[in-house]
Order: sequence, then C-alpha cells, then structure tokens
Amino acid sequence: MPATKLYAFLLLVISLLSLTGCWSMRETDEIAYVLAVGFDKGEKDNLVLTLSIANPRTATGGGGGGGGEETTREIVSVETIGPLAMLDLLNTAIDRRIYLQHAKAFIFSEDLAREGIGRWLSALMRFREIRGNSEVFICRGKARDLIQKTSPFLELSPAKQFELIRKMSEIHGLYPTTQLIDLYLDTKSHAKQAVLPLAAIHEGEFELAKPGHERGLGEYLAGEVPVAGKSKVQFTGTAVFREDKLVGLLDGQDTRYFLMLTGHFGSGYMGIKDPLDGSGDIGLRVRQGQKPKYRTGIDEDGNVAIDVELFLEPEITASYSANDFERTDLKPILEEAFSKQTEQGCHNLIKRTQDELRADIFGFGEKVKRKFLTVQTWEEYKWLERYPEAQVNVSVRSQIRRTGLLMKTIPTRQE
Amino acid sequence: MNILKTFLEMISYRENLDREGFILQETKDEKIAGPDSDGKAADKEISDKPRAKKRNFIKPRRPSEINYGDPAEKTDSAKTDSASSSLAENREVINRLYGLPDNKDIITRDFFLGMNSAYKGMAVFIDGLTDKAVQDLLFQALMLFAVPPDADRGKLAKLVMKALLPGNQVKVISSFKDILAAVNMGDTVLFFDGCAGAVVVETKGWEHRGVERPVTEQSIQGPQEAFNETLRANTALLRKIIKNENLTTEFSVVGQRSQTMIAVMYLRDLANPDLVKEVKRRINSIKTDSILDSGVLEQFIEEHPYNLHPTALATERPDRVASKILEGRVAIIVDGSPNVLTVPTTMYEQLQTGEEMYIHWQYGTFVRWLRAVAFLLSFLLPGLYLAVVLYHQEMIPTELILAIAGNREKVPFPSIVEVLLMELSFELIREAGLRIPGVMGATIGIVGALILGQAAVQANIVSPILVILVSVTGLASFAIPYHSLAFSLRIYRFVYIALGSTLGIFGISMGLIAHVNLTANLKSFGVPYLAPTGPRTADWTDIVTVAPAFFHERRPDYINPLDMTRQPQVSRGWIKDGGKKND
Repeated sequence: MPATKLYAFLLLVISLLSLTGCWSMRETDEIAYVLAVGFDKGEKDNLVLTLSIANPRTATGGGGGGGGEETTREIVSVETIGPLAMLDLLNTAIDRRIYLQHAKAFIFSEDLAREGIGRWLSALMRFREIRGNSEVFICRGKARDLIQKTSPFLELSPAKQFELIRKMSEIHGLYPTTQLIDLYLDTKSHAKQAVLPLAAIHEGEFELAKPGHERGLGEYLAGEVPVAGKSKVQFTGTAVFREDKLVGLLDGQDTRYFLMLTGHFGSGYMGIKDPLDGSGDIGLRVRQGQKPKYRTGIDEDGNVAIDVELFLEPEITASYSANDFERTDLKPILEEAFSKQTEQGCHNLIKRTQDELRADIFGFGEKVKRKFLTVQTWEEYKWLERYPEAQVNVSVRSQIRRTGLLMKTIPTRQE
Repeated sequence: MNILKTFLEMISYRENLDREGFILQETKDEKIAGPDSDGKAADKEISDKPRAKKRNFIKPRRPSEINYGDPAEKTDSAKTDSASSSLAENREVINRLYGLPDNKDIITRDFFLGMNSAYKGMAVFIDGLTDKAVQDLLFQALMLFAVPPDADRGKLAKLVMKALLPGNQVKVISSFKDILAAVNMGDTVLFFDGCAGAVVVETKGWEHRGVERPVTEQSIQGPQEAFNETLRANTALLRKIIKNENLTTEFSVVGQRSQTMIAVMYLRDLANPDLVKEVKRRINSIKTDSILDSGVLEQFIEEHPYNLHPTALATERPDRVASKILEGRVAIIVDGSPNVLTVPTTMYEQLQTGEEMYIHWQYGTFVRWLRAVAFLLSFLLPGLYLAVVLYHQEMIPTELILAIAGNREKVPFPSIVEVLLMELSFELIREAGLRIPGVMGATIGIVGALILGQAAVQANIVSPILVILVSVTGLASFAIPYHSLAFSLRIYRFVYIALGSTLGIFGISMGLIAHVNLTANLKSFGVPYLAPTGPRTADWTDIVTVAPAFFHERRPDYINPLDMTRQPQVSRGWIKDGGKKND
C-alpha cells in the first residue's frame, strides 16, 4: 500500500500549497519602485510629498527598443496628512502599487525641518517597508524642486546616485552622511544631537554663486558652490539639529572639522598660507591618521572637561611658495602651522555649537556617560542642556607623510 | 453519403468482423483465473455463444485483480535428469529441450572418434556463441588424431577429457541442467555413445564490443578504459588493476529465463564479511525472470527505492571501481551491462569522479568546491529566483531588481509560467538531444540555441535574465558527475520551483529541511547516505577538500573494513622526518 499512502501524502501537500494563497506575492510589473521621497510643508498643517519613481524600462539599457524619449524616473507629488497616508492617495492616480523598500533617500525641506521632523520620523520607522539604512538629506528650498531637478550626472539609474553620494563623503568630507536609523536614534538620544547632510539646487553660472573666499575650498553651503553645468544639485554642509528641530547650518569647512572631531573624516584637500613668509599657499591632502582620542573628566559640581586629541597626516600636493618645505628642517614648521590652523578651526566650531547652536553634535556625551554609574543619574544630569558649559580642549598633531611625486621645491629661474 | 457512412462506422460500435482472421486470445492461464474466481466455476470458460439475456452485463475487471497464480518454477522434468549412456536417448532429450529441429541456432553434429565408426559421438553447441577456430582444433583432435582406446565405454568421457582434448577448460558433467547451462553460455558439449557423462569444452567466442574509452564519465587524467558488456572482460579489467590473490569473484545466476550471471567482487582480506554476506543474500533472494542491466539489479537491492536519491553507485570506469574495492567496498558486475555497481555508497562519493585524486590535491579541491556550488545551483536556483522576485524584492540591489523588472515589462506571463516554460523547453532539448539520431545531431544545437536563446527573448515570451538563469542551472546539473544523482536533483528542482513561487524563502527553507531529513534517513547497505558528515564519523578529510595523497592514511571509517590502515603515518620514506611536523 505504499503507493496509496504516497498519493494521499502528495494530495495533502498539494492542497496545503493551495491554501497559502500567495498573499504577499507581487510580480515585478505590478510595482512602482520609489527611489526617493521628498518632504515639504503643505499649505496647512500637512505635508507635500514628492516621489521619484523608477522607470524600469530604461534600466535594461537599450534593450527595450524604440522608447528613446523615456526618462529614467517619473515624479509625482501629493498633499497629505502623513507620510504613509500618501500611499493610498497616490494609488488613486497610479495603477501600480507604491513600493518603498527600495527608497534610497528621504529629503526634508529646511522649512519643515525647522518645525521638527520627529513626528514624521516615527511614522517612517514604524512602517515595515522603509529601510533603516536609507540616506536622509536636508534641502535648502523645496524638496520637490530638488527631486525634480536631480538629474544623475553619468548614472543611468537614479538609485545609484544616492548610493555613490555616501561614498563621496569619505573622499572630501564636505558633508556628513546619516542614515534614517541613526537620525531616529540621535533624536531620541540623551548624549548626542543629530546632523544631516545639506543639499540644494544651484542654477545658472558662477555669478549666482556666493562670492569666493580667500582660500575657497569648503567655506560654502549647498547651493552656493560655483559649479556650472548639467548637474544642478549640490551636497555641501551640515544641518544641525536640536532634538528634532533644525537650528543651524555648518559650511563645508566646518563639516570637515566636525568629521575630524568625530573620527569620520576620510580625506580632503585643505590649504594653508606659507608659515614662514606668507609668500604663497600650500595645498595639502589631509587624511585622518588615527581615530581621535578622548579624555573626559567631571568634578563634584558636575563641570565637565573634555580633551580631544587629533592626529592628521597631510601630504603636500601643491606648493605656490618659494620655500622648500620638503626639507626635514622646514617640514616641522609646516606641520606645526597646520596643526594650529586646524586647532583653531575645531575650537571655533565647538564654540559655535556651544554658544549659538547649543547642540552636542559630536557625541561627547557618549564619552562623558562613562563617568556615571547608572543610567538614571546620567539622565538626571541632563547633559544636552549642560553641554554649552563644558570645557572642550582640542589638540592637533600632524605629520607630513609624503610630498607628492616631487621631492624638492626649486624656485623658477629668474634671469 | 459514402463518406458519412464510413465516418459513422468509425465512431460507432460494431461486432468484431474478424476480417484479419486473427484475434489475440486470452491465454488459458488467464481464463482459468478469469471471471468468477470464487472457485465454483473455474471450468466455465467464456463461450463464444451469444448469451441468453441480452443485457447480461459483466462488470469489467482490472487486469491487476486477476490472480495468475504463483509464478512457481515451471521446470521440465527432463532438465533434472542425468544424461543416459545411449546416444540416441541423449539426442532425443536435447531435441526436446531445445525444440529441435525448429530451433535453428542449436547445432548437433555427429562424428566418429578417431575415424572409428564404433565410437560414435555427438557435439552440441549454439552457432554464433562459439569460437569457430577453437572448434576446428577440437574436431581435428577428436576425429583425426585421437586413437580410440580399448577402455570401458563408460569411462570414455573422462578419458577424452584427460588424454585426447587439448582444450583449456574441459570437464565432465552428467546432469542436463548443467549441460544446458554450458551450451547456453557458448560451450561445446560432447556426448559419446555408451557413456553417461558429457564432456564440456570451453569454446566461448561471441561477438562483443572491445574495451573502449568511457563515454559518460570522461576524464582528462587517469586511465581511459571503460567496461563493456562482457562479464569476463569486466572482471579481467579489474583484476588487471588489482593484482592480488585476495581479490575474489563470486558468481550467482539471477533471472529465471535470462539466466543472467552476476559477479560479486571484493578483497577477501579487506571487505567486511558481513557486508559481502549481505550483498550475496540480497542478490540470491531475487526472483524475477530477467535482469537486463545493472540498473535493474540496483532497484532490486536498494534499501530505499522510493527515495529519489540513488543508493548504489554505478560507474563505467574500472579504475574507479578498483579504488572502491581497495577501500573495502563490494563491486557487483552484471553480465551484459557496462555499468558496475559499487556498494555501499554515500552522496559525497557520488559527487566525485575519482579524477580529483589523480591531479594535484589543490586542483582536485578547486574542482570539488566548484562542483559543490553546482550541486546547490542545480536544484535551488530557479526556486530562489522566483522567491526573490515574487516575495523578497528588497533582498537584491535596486539596480538588479530594476533590470529584472525592466526585462519583465513586456513579458505577458507571470514569472512562474515564464520559469516553467523555460525549464520545460530545456528538459525537452535535453531529452531530444539524447534520443535524436546521430545524423541529425547538429539540428538540436541550432533549434535549442535559436529557440531558447534568441527567438523567445525577441518575441517577449521570456525575459533574457531567465535564459541566463536556466542555462546556468542546466550547466550546473551537467556538472554533477553521477547521472542518477543529477536526475534526482532535476526533479527536486521542480519541487523547489513550486515552493519558491507559493511560499517564498519560507517555502524553500521548509523544502530544504524536508529534503535534508529525507536524505539523511537513507542508508546504502547499512551505511548512512550522508556519512561522513551526517552522522559524523572519524576524521576523514576526503569529503569536499582533497587531502594530498600521502595524507590518506586510513580508509573511510563508515565502511568498517577489516584493515583500517591504508598507509603508514610516514608514507614518504625519502623525507627525513616524514614531512609531518610533531608526529
């Protein structure tokens, strides 16, 4: 009778399969893949959401045939009361199911962020389709404009753009990167305030940009960088939050100091005036040699002192000065000057976060926390309110490792 | 009208017109056991007369319900008799047994011993099975050179064997059963008038294939010989490799009608005696009318014939069988089959070709890891693809899901239909490619490549990504060296497609758990099928990673051979410390 038993078993199994009903089954051609979501203030107490939806037909790379006019993405906007209520509203106009699991970027407008984004964040974090590791940006101006004008420079797919932006931060350090999950945690933290990278639209040529700086490398906010061309979206600077509200903006250079102090600085070009006679600028490619060292102390009155030690490794990339800084006796002078300059920059930034912004974006609280035995005493201490009174000392050590491919500076022969 | 009438005739019932004058009637055997098998009317045969009542409906019975009775041995009593001393009587028995003179293959030849008409003799043999040159020598010796002795007629056969015949295998037998067996195997049997015994001379020499290169198990390095259909040639091929007096070959005959010889080969001082006993017990217990191939025997002796996985290893390469015998396993050779079975077997063994041992161990390791990947791909890939594309789109990179989605935009079918369509066409190509006559072999490549690769995509029937997927799956399944195992995975693939498309990754993991459980429960001649990993046996490196040849000190633990040691701890005598540290 084994055959009968086998048939009975098979029948059972097959009928079980029919019970599954394939509830969550979705064919790829029934889905609209959202790549980026923009949040703007609505007319009343609500939101305007802008969605960038991928057009998969263009992703096949010419295989479609004929549809040369098609864009890589379609953009829709909807005014609604919350980030998830939009799904139903949008699906009245779009025949495919809006699918957020491939959303790479969430972009909040500056106006909205100044009012607070916490309520929207909690909705996003609760929804299972949202990825915790999507990037979050703050946009000067309207997020809707930003999404509409984002045209990937060389990328075929708009999704790749946001993935690559994250990597670029490690190369120049002009903006931080923040993932959705980190942003959420930082807005709830007792030890740290959140920061977000800053993005903006820049239109027109150089004359519309901010007037240049003396050593103009990073002292820009997004939208002011003098770049002309097809790529209209710029990412530079940092948006500083206190709790869930935006309180101020840092420019690119300050962002570098911020990244150095948190140990996330990858590398970047920086300039310094000739420390000997001020005859010309010297260009350095700086990388962070080691993670910063923190030492914290707290006395009986609750006064906190924090020592931060930075170690940087610059490399001479350009020298417009007549002095031969490659020489072993002159090199320390340049190193010393660069350390001083960086120290000053860090100091100014910390001063600003203490006095003007009143926000511990560096996460010093995480280090101070170790001095407390229980969480209760730590929370009662209210670090975020007492951060402005903390004494923060920064000392920078730098060592020039390489001088590029030239080993010696020889002045141009003047006859 | 005529056409209409013919058409109506074709679809309406008519009494059998008996136009051909022939109807294949039920055999008597079946009729007796036929209707009303209650016993009361066994004699009531179905008469041709029309029945009295018009609507006397007899419920049709399934053929499987008919009891044909026990297929007991229907022996001819003559078979058990001994040969008589009268030549005429013997001739009569032979004629009756072989159905002479209708049966034209059997030749009986009369002769006089040593040109003396007083000594009559008769030779019986089968034309085509015997070697004519040997027979010529035989008759020369008997008819021309032999001097008829004066001895007792009754001892003539013995005398011929001892003094007169130069043949290399000659013996005297008397029972007709043995005589028939000998003649059927291609020997020549000599009867002498007045003598009760018969002389059997070995004259085997039938047409057969020579030793050729392996067809299904090709290798680059290693011996390039393959077994053929001749039992003796196969045993010799093995003995050629293992020149050892302990190599034992035992014969049994299975198959009531085909009388197939089956050889069991093992090393007497190595193979576990219980294993050998069990193999012989299973083979000898088989009652069937014929064994045509080792694959049939495999089904008769397998422990788990209902499981998809094969639990005996069939190979056509003598070097591979020799290596198994040297590990303490038992080889089973079926006469007429070029595939030799070795038992017990494990799944890991079925994923190996033996060639890995002939090349550097690093190369062998690389190939085996590659094969391990192929093993997984061959049954999981289409199911996983469906699960990911239908349920878990978040699992793969955005770029990839957009590429998949973009390709699917114009395809009118759901993904599952697409996959089944491609799998079905691939299976068709595979089967057709195997069956297509060699002359038209080139067609299959063109048809397959064009239809599957190009046209289907251009016609938007399937998406290009799926063509790649199915081809990779196909390649992976061809990379599995053992044909039966590849077959089982081919079938499992469809199970995983069903699970992946209805339950997603959850279904696939459930399927894997069930699959692993079913497989782990298998045994091959008392050895767990997944040994040495499930259950874990003593340290044995030769599973996926190949150890260098000088590290193979012990035989596989799970076979329990009489001697575990293959080579001493220090096998390379020329190295001062044996090449192994701290030993």
